[in-house]
This record gives sequence, structure tokens and C-alpha cells, in this order.
Amino acid sequence: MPRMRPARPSLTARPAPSAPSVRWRAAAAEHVSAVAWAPDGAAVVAGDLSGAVVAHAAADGSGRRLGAHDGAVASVSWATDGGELASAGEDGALRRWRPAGGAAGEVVLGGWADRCAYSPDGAMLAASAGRRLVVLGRDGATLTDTADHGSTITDLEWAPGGGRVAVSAYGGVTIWEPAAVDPVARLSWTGSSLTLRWSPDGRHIATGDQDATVHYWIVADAEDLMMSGYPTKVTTLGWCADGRYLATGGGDAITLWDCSGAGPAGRRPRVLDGDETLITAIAAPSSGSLLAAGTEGGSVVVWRIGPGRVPAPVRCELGDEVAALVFSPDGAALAAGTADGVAVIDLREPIRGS
Amino acid sequence: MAITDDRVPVTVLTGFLGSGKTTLLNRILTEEHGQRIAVIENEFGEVGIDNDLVIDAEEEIFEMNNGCICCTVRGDLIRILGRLMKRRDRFDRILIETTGLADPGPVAQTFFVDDEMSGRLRLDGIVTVVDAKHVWQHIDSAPEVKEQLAFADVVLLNKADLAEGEELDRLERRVRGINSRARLHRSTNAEGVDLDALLEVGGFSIDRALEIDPEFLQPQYPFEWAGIVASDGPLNLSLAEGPDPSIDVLLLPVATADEPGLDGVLRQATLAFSDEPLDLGSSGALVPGRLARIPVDANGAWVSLDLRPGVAYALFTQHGPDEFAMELGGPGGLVAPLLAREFAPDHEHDAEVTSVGIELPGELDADRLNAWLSNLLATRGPDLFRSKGILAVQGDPRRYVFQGVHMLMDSRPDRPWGDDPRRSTIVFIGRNLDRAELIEGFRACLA
Repeated sequence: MPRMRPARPSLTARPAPSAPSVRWRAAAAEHVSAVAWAPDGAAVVAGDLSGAVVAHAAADGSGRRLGAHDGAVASVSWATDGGELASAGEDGALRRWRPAGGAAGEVVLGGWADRCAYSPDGAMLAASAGRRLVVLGRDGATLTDTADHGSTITDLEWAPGGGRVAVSAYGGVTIWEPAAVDPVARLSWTGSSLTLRWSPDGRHIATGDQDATVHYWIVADAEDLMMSGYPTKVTTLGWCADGRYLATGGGDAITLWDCSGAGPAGRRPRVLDGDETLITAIAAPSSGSLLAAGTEGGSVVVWRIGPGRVPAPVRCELGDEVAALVFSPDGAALAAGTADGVAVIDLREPIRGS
Repeated sequence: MAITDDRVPVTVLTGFLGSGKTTLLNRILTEEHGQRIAVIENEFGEVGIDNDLVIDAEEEIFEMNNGCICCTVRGDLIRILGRLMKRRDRFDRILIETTGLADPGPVAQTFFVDDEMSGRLRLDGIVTVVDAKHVWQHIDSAPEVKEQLAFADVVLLNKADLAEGEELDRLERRVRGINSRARLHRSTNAEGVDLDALLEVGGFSIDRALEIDPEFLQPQYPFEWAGIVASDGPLNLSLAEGPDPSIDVLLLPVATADEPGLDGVLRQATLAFSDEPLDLGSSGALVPGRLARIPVDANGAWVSLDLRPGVAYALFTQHGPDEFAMELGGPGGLVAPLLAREFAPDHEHDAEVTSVGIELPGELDADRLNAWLSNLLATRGPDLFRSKGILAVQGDPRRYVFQGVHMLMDSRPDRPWGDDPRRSTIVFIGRNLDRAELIEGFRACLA
């Protein structure tokens, strides 16, 4: 097939990437709902709907069961210093684990514990359970505990520089500083935000929403742009490492917004097709120009994103619905949580190189 | 034409505190049925058997934009059911028990607006449990009671042992007045009713929308009286001024001058009453088969009946004959009908929450129908609890079926009409429904 000349000069004129390969797959007792990499890239922790929390060696997938929740695991997080990890589950507990095995502590938050995340410096752990948001210090001390956030928290993420944590819920986003009684900022609208992601520079927050929209917030002045027209509710989104591109799910394709300069207003987004099934997870590495998506149909698709035409992606077919997808710290591999278990996928040159 | 539907059925249980809702839930969970059931409840309960899962959820209602319309949904259900559906080990059925004061609207709407849920779950029906003895204390004071009854596919009149037979009959009539399409069962301690009658309802199934019970239309006759007349000589009808400025009347030949003869033309009469009436003036002649309107002023009205000798006819009147002091006269003086039947609704129409069923012969104009329905749902949506229809659209060989909750609607083409006579049936249950306006609007959609 003759090569097409790019429509305009492209910065991404690279040879077509070769297919990624599955390094290993490990079966789980139930649908794996959450995965996280150890900061050194040596292990992947997976939580599943049976409640099990298992750490797998990144090299060969061999698993070590850290413990279990009495109910499904909703999220997992690994502290940036590698010293401990945490999981939140439907038993209402926020559990902390030692990587070598064994519990490091637990807090029962009540209801269903949902999201948990260590701060970028690893010093704090934020978690949600229903309408409750807690921020703990590494010593287990409670820094923040909002008994009633007003509505159920759907997602939370620390600001890239740390220090503040944003939570999404019905009514938009609230931003908290540890030890504050009230949020330091509110990004309000009448609707239910399901997920949020800070832009890498911390100036914007994008939310995926129940009413099939994406809201793009300018944090400093709490103003927003709304992107609508998605076929379904938007449950996943992610920023490319350079902070220029916002990738959003909400259907069977990724809608990619260019947020450079004056932002996405008035710009036509690009559409990146997956495998014609629902996009269930979006991931981007901390550096470089890759973007990955997992689908309900069981594909993992990886693109290289740049200002020009997006070259054809590489694909890896796992065959089971992908629920969670995370790049390894070095950006050279992906961990996927699927209906069947966990998989680690190697991204071979040249897609990997940046 | 049954298509296998592997979506997990969901039943919503509503009912006031003390109605026996929890007793019913316990019965469902303990009865031997071999199913794994997940229960989502918003009030603290103490049930939970073996395989079953009981989830306490905090009811969280929020507004949501769905296209250009705004509706309320249950955020907690979206979250919990979304999680449940991911499990490899699926549940066979999900029960959602609402609080006593819950409005079932947001629960039902949740299944219409969230694609993840509608893809994996099938809202089977809303079951409302009523304390047959004590519901009278709330039915007029608590709007939630009427809402729960209006939304129901099945109404369980529980604690029937505590109520007198006559009281139960009265309650049934009252419930029928609010929701004439729900199935009614009587029970004591939530016993005495087959669980299949509660759990396999198909209340929101588009397929089952075709099963609008003709019984439903029965109490909704557009006339209040019918009499059978036969005469070899001329007959006339005299009317005195009544509560309305006119009365619609219809004459139809009957096969036999008896009850079955009258039954035989009821359907034809119902259809004829949705025609545009012919204005007869105050002294015209009434021709069989054609709906006629007789204006009645202070001078009264006097029309002749155009009867053939040896043929019996049924005379239908829009209002009760007493209201217009109606008399039938012949050459030899007053004539009594051979038999008469009143069609005054035998249920107690609720002034606030009620059902309106309309059936029209012929085909509808698609554009006008769309415009009417969209406008109706957009402007009256909050008051329309449930709606349902089977429609004949001009230029389309298939039936169109739809189901709606408030302003949300789901519709699709169904099996072809073939040789069946084309007609459209529509049912609304809601608050402050204007029957005449709905009939008028629907009729204006006729092609």
C-alpha cells in the first residue's frame, strides 16, 4: 500500500510501530477492577471483585496475595516511595499493605469505600467512601475527614504538584487541602461528574460526566467549557504527558481534544477508533507521546499522539473486557485489569521510543 | 418472535412503611426458587439469606440532562448496579426496595437514561404493596401513595385479612381509578400470591407493550348509557336542557335485542365515538352508524330516529339520559327501551391521579404524532408517570410500540399489521390529566 502524504507537515513521521506483546497474563478469582504499578516498575498490584489484593512480579507475573477485602476491591494505589500500598473496597475499609506481605493498617470508612490515592510525595493517602472524604498521613493520623461531602464521591485525584486533592461528585468538583474543613475551591455545575483528571500542569481539570458530556475546567477561575455529543456517559479520560491533548471516552472511540493555546473551544477534536466496542479505560505515561485505551471488547490500543495526523495505532487483543489500564513508570509497558485477570503488555520499539 | 433476553431482570418494590414490603421481600428471599437475588435497599433491613446479597444504599437523587430534557435519576443505583453487573458470578435477579416515601419515578427513569444499565439489566416491573386496612389514612394526604400506585405494574393489597370484603372492593375500585392497567392481587402477610405474578411482569418490556389489556379500555367507554330500541313505527328522542350544551348520540343496529347483542357492538360504538360528530341541529334525523351531536338549549331538542322495521338498534348517549331528561316517544306515547345499561365508570375516578386510555381506528400521521408526543412529554412530562402505546403510522406496515416514564420514552417498530385493522391505542397514567385534551390531541394526529 503506498504511503499517504501527510495532510500537513507532521512532527510524528515515524515508521509504523510493531505489535506489542503480552509479557504475561495471570488469572484472577474475579474481574480485576484496579491495577497499580510499584514505583520501581518491579511489581503490579491488582484488586478484584472477589476482594483479593495480589501483588504480581512484573517480570513473570508470579503472584503474592497481600490480603483481601470482604467484598469487591474498587481501587488500589502504590505509594511513590514504594514502601506501602493501599486498597479500598466494598466492605467499607481502606486497607494498607506492606509490599512484602501483610497488613500495614486499616480504617473502616463505612458504606462502600471507593477511591484511594497516595499524594505525589507519598506522604498522604486520600480515600472516599460514599459521601466521605478522608486524608490520612503515613502514620495513619487523620488530616481531613469530611463526613458529608454533599453527594457521593465518584473519583479523586491529587494535583500534580501535590498538596491538594480534587474530588468529583454530583454537582461538579471540589478541591481540598489537607487539614482544611471546607474545600478551597468548587467547580460547580448541575450534573453528575463520574471521573476527573488534572492536566499535568495543574491548571485544568477535565471531568467525564453522566449526561454524556466532558467538562474542561480552568481551575484558577472555576470556569468551564462543556464538550457534548458523546454517545454514552463519559467514565474515562486522560491527558497526554505534554498536557496538550485530552483524550476522552464516552463511546466506542476516543475523542481527542487539543487544549493548547486558548484551549479546546472552537476546535474540532480528532477521533481515534478502537475496536468498535466501548472504551473502558484510558492511560498515558508520565512522559512521551503515547496514549492507550482498553475496550469492552478486550483490546488494548496504543497511539502516538502529535499535532499532525495520528499514525495507525498498535493493538493487543486480550479478549476480555478491560477495566483498568496503567502505564509502567518507565512508559515501556502497560498493566491491564480484565474480566479474566491481569496482563502486562510490552510496548516494543519503535512505539516505545520518544 | 421471542428473542432471548439475557439481561438481568430488576423488580422495584415500593410501598409505605408498614405495608408489608419487607415481609414480601423476606418471602421472596426465603422461598425456594433456586435464584440468586441481589437486594438493594434504602432502609435498613435485617434480611439476607445464604447466596443472596443485601446492599444498603443511601438514596441519591439527582437531576440529569438527557438530550434537551431534564429528568431525575438515582445516582446510587447507577453506581451499585454498574458494579454488580461486572461480577463474573451474576445474580439471577435484582430487587430494589425503595423507602416508604420514595417516588418511583427516578428509579424507573434511571433504567431509561443510563446505557450501561439498559444494556445489561431489564426493568421488569414495579410492585407496590399496600396496607389494605390502613392505606385510607394516607391515600389522600400523602401524594407518594398515589404516585406509588400510579407507577405500579402490580399492586399487592396486603393485610387483606384485616379489611372487610366491602372495604377491599372499595379499595380495588379506588386503585383502579388511579391506575387502571396495574394487576391487582390480594394477600395476607404477603402470602397467597404466586411469586411469578410479582416477579415476571414484563411491565417495561416493549414487547409486552403490545399486551395492553383490552379490559383496560373497558371502563373507559366514551358513552354513559346505552339502550336497545326497536319499532315498526317512527321513534323520536326528546331532550331538555342539561348540564352540557350538547350531547353526542349514536345509533347502531344490533344482531339481537339482548345483552349479547349490545356487547357485540360496544367496540364499534367506542370507535365511532372517536369520530368527528355530525351536527344534527336541534331537530334533525339520527342515522344509524354515524356519531351525531345534538345541541340542547333552553328550548330542548327533538330528533327523529331513522329506524328500519324489524331491526333492533342500540342507542348510545354520551351523558346519562337523566341529565337531559331524555324521553323516547312513538306514535302511541312514551316508549321504554327493551333493555338499558349504564356505562358510568364503575370505578372511582381519582381527581388527581388517574389513567386515560384512548383507542382510535385508522392511521396516524408520523410528523404530527411526533410533534404532539414530543410537546406533550416536554410540557406535561412531570405529570405523566407512565405511558404506553401501540400505534399505526401511515406508510409503515409495522406496529409502533412505545413505553414512557415521565418525559423519557423508548419506542421501536414491532410486528407488521398484516390484515389486522389498523388502530392506535395509547395509555397515560398521571396527575391532573386532561382527558378531553389528550383525546383531542391524539385524534388530531390521525392521517
